[in-house]
Amino acid sequence: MIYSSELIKGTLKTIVLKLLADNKKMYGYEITQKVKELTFDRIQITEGALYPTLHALESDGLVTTETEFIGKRVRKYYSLSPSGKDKTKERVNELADFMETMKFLLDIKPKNA
Amino acid sequence: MYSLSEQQIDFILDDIRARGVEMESLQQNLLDHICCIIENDLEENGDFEGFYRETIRTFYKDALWEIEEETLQLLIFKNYYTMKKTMIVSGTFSAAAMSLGIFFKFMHWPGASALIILGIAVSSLLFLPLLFTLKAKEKQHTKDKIILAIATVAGSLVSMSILFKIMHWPGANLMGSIFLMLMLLLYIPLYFFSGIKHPDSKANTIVSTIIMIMGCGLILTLVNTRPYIQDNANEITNQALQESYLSMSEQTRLLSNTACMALPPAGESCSLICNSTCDRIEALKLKLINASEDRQVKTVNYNELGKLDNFQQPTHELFHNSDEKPSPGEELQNLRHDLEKINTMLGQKLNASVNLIDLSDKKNLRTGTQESWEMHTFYNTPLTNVLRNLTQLQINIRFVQILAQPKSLPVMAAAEPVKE
Repeated sequence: MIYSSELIKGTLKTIVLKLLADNKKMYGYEITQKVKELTFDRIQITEGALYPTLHALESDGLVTTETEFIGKRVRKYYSLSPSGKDKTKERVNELADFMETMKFLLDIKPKNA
Repeated sequence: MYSLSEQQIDFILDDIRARGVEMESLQQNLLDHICCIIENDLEENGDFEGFYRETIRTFYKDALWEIEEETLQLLIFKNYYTMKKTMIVSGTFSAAAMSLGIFFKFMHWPGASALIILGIAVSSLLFLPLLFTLKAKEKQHTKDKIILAIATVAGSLVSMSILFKIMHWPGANLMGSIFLMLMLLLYIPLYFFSGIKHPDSKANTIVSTIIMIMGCGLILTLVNTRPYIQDNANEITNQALQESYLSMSEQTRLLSNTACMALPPAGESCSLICNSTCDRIEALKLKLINASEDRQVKTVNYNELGKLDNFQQPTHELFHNSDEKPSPGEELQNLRHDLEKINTMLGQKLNASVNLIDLSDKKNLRTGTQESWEMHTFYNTPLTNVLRNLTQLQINIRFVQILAQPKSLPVMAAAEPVKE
């Protein structure tokens, strides 16, 4: 099962921030692969969603970038800025809280209960 | 594992650019991303171009530039609150500066123009464009956005036009006319017909349309009547100056006739110098008038006589062209020489204790310094005044000339100014 892009869109910033918090520095392709790997292909981040998000995070000052030349092309590595680190905790907590609320709202019973 | 050649990388980058992605950092990101996919997923001897086309196709729905648009949208949204704040601050500021400027203008306090220019510039260059950007984001249809854009341009035009009008800069009427055309031919019809369709906004649309048409009428009056009043004022001033000049010329002619008729043989040298000086002055006047022909005296704006521009023509003709220390030219030197001669010759004859024609230094009322007679009478003086001063000199010479004639007093009584 692949989740709808609508669901992913609202959580993409949080996903990217958390990945950067766990992996120090990453580039775009690496992020998509990592998400695929961790979710057993159930979440696939599209390029059309990832890069706008990365640019927005950069302009918010939450991530910093460094470039590396790979032959003729440039690879842009993203890593968290100090304010990004705080923001990550905040966003992850917020999302966890949100999921609890959704469970309650949609009346989802835990599977093993 | 496929290994990409430099040409292939250039090919991909060119293709990304050709598909409308303009942000360089986004181009680099997409290039690296595609290269990674190709390197990881394409077999060593696979079909590069076919694989590339398939891959890039998965990046977007309709076109690759959607990614850039999405990026820009996110970036602009981030600035949304800053923009909104700037808009409100700049709007308040320009409204305050404008009202304060208009108040200052009424009170004739300094700084009025600066305030008005600042207010209008901020409003038409910062406030209105920001308002447009923010409002355009809220509108869904292209038609609404176009209406909004027209309104923004019209707003900028009308405020700039009013600014140019009160500063007497050229182009105000042109901008005002373009504004009126935009409003009457485009904006109001578009606004009216799009608003009248919805029952909710029908009443509002009708009222706003009427108010806008009334406003346009007022601006039309402003655009059209001002130049008429100005032309009229010029005409009246011109006429008054011309009449006074004509009457002075007539006086000169009469005096000159009288002087010639009463010419006794004894006074010949005196009369000769007087006549030649008057001729010299007449020639100078003609020269000045001729020189001004191609400078379009008719377009001289009498409201702006206080500005130096209109003063420069006689100065240019009569003085040596040097900004630091202007000195009288040859013609003025000759004139002074003649006048001094008249002073000595006729002064002796009349036993005058003061100079008959006053050539002494005068105090400049503006700067408070002493300046020579030439400077005082002709330098930085409008052409009409210079001509008037020259004619006055002719009258004075003729007057002195008649005084020097025996039994001149009864003749003088006849030399009244003539009216047609």
